[in-house]
Amino acid sequence: MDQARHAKVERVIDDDLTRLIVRGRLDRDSASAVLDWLSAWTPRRGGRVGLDLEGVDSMDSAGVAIVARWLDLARKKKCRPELLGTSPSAQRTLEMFRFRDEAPREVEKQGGQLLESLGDWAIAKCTGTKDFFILLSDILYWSLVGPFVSGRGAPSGELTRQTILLGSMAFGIVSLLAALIGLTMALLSMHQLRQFGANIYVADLVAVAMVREMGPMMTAIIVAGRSGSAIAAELATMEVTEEVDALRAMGFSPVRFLVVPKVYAVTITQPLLTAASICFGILGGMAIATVALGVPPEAYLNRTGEILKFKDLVTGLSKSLVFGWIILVVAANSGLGTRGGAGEVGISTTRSVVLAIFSVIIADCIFSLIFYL
Amino acid sequence: MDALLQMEDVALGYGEKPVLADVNFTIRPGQLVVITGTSGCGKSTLLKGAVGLLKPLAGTVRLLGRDLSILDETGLMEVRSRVGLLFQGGALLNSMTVAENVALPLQLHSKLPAGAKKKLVQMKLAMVGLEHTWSMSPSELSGGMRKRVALARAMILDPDILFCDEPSAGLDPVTAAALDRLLLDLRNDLNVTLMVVTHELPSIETIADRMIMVADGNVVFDGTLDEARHSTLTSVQSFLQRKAARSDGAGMSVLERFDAGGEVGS
Ligand SMILES: Nc1ncnc2c1ncn2[C@@H]1O[C@H](COP(=O)(O)OP(=O)(O)OP(=O)(O)O)[C@@H](O)[C@H]1O
Ligand SMILES: [Mg+2]
Repeated sequence: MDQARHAKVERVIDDDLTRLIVRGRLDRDSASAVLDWLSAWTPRRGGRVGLDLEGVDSMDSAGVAIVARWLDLARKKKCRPELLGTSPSAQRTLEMFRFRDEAPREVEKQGGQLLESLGDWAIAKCTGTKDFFILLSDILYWSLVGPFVSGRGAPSGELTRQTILLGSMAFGIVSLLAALIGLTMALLSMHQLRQFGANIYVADLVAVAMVREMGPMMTAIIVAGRSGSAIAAELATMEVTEEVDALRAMGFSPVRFLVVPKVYAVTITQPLLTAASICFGILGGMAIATVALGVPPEAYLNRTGEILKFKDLVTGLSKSLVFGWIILVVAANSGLGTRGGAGEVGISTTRSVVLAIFSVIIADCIFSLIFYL
Repeated sequence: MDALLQMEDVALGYGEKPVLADVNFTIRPGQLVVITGTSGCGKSTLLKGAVGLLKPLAGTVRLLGRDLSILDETGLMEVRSRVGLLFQGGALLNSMTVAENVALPLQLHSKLPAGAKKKLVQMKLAMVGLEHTWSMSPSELSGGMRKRVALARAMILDPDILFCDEPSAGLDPVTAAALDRLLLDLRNDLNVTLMVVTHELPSIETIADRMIMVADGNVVFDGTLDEARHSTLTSVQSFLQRKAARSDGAGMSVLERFDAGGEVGS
């Protein structure tokens, strides 16, 4: 054994006392081997057992750790372990790390632990919910009243910056994905429609699906992943670096300063992004209709215009608006609710995305029930 | 008004368990009070409680003579405009330039014309020796520079009382001494009352009129530096003599060994 080269363990049995003698260097290289020997030689049926460190030339914190560990193990085997002697160098190390031979205090298991933790969990959930509604009312209040109370909002230009961040920069990915979805829908339905010679109806299918469901939904999911996470991370970082506290201490409302510009921005960008996604989805469908089904583009667009009702457009766009707000409120809630250090920022961000997508889908179900039942 | 800050039986903490309990003290105008204590004992918590960022779990906090918990919006704004706060990490907003950060409180509490505001910002930045960082982003500054910018921001409204959380931590001795000088000047020339959290002994010796020491969830000492030197409390003595406190007599800690210059076992 390699470790055995600088540490040796010996066992001497005197009457009722088992003496374990360690010699050489008790350090991080030899520690685990020494511990193996020590525990192997500790009597199984209890009794006195002593550890002799007189012959230890040098010892480090790993050595201290195994001495402590051995004491625990010996006690677990119902032995009465004791430290028989230490060399000066071992003594110094033991003292330096404040080694004390004391039986580990068992943490008493309390009776109502399960109930207690259940209670803690419930309280945490309740305060979480309360905080959420406070935040929500704050956001509502400042979004509606803010423009009429001067001087305390975010610096001018913030709205533009946020609009660009939430809108223009998401435009590319939203339109690309929408076009691909339109394309896919057309492809999927192509064969069936062709069987009935109902090629032109591909326009109906794509248009209605994009306007009612896919447009608002896909846009919301992309915005939740892209902008919602960014907002949550930004706010969480500001919270843990005390910037939010600083704003509060100066007299600013953090909600008004940080969240409200984003509310306005999302109110502008979300319907626009959704409209773009609908257009690109329809174009994607048109591409397949033209190439694979031989429907001329003009016929496709005419058909689309005929089939789309004003009501569909309005519901689609208002849905998207609500989705945008949901994403924002969820992101603000998890961002501003962050406590602790940098690690929490990541957790908040993840939670924000998951919760936002979940809430958007729930809201979509509710909308479908209301509008189309 | 005779007391700028008054704490009566205040308990402060996060969640339900208090970090500090039974805090009682009063700060009068013109004092420079140092809050000190070991790391993690609750100094920052005390500061947050004093300015109302943390609601007391018990007791009342009166800032500028007003009870923060029952103050209405206008009253709160008025108090905020007369209180400066320097956070431990600076807490500058990264989305704005240094100048915009410093000017932030003006946006809310000042009706000066824009040109005058700009001059004011220049003055305060010059005060901390950082005029050249005017249009930089806080992320381009070093930790110490950020803190000085934050001090400029805290001072922009000439507050009655200024709270500083470890202003000189992370600064070199020369800059730290200059900062101490600055704090003294603020007190002497502008009659600003200061509550400064620090554990730099030299700095405490230069600036403190009064020292409040926090330990074990309580204020354990409150008095002048002279009184502190004659105090019999072990926590005060070991702090002044830069020693780690002995714990139940079981061998010396690593810290003590280093302190005593003793040899540490190999
Ligand atoms: N946001 C928080 N949530 C929960 N506990 C906290 C929070 N902030 C601080 N604490 C706890 O409160 C105690 C006091 O922290 P505080 O930041 O006031 O210490 P401090 O005296 O300022 O220390 P330092 O000198 O290191 O800045 C610590 O034990 C810490 O764990
Ligand atoms: Mg602190």
